[in-house]
Amino acid sequence: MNALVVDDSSIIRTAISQHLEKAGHKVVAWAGDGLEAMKMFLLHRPDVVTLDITMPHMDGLSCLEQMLDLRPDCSIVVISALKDSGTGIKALSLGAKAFLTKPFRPAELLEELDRSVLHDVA
Amino acid sequence: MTLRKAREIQAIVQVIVDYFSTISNERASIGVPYVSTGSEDQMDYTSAIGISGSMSGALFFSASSALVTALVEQILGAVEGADPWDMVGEVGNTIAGNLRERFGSEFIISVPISIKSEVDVSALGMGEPIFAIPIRWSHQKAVVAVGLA
Repeated sequence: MNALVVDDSSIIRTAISQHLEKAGHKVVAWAGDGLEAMKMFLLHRPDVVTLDITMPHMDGLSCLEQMLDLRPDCSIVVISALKDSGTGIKALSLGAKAFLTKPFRPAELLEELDRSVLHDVA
Repeated sequence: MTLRKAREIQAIVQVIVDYFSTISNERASIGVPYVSTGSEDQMDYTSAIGISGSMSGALFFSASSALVTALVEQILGAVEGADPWDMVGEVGNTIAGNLRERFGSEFIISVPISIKSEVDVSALGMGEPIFAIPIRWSHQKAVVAVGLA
């Protein structure tokens, strides 16, 4: 699967990318804010997006809505520090395949990703 | 300290302990929280998160260079090329964001702000009193300071 990794922390982008690549996914692009994320999304047409929420310029939930308007088939996993049920429910109701809170263990990320991607294939 | 403030501090302590336990197998040791001026606790790298909504003020995370290096190594496996300011910003953001589990979704957090000069608590809008929570992890020091009204 081709993946786009969106997070305003370069360290977290790198960590997520490492985990995805170890699991056999190809990271085709990174973005550090919402506007850059939309550009990369249109340019690279990823199968999977990992998406942070609290970011400069455009937040992740706005990105999520716009991405799914453009490509409803894309699997988006929201990964955020915002650990309240309201945020998780909002992300899932907007169409995210999974909601994962930071900090996370690598196995949790891969489990959520596999679950959302496999769910789509099935 | 009021009972309400004590419960707020306890919630922050729990989030800090959970953060370090999740990213590593090593539990952070938390010292006794104390009232601080803010700047007296500043270490090598500091990031601040503005708080608005149901509470107002700010939270900052400050860490020794050695602790930041250990964190980056834990998360990436290597430190080469990693930005220490990015790391302290992410820790501050994660601790503040995780507090919404306790304080609710109206506890609004800003993106991280790197503090490269002395902490100015009035410019950050930190409510008084400011409480500092000392942290020891991987034999290194850090602190979370929080001023909420």
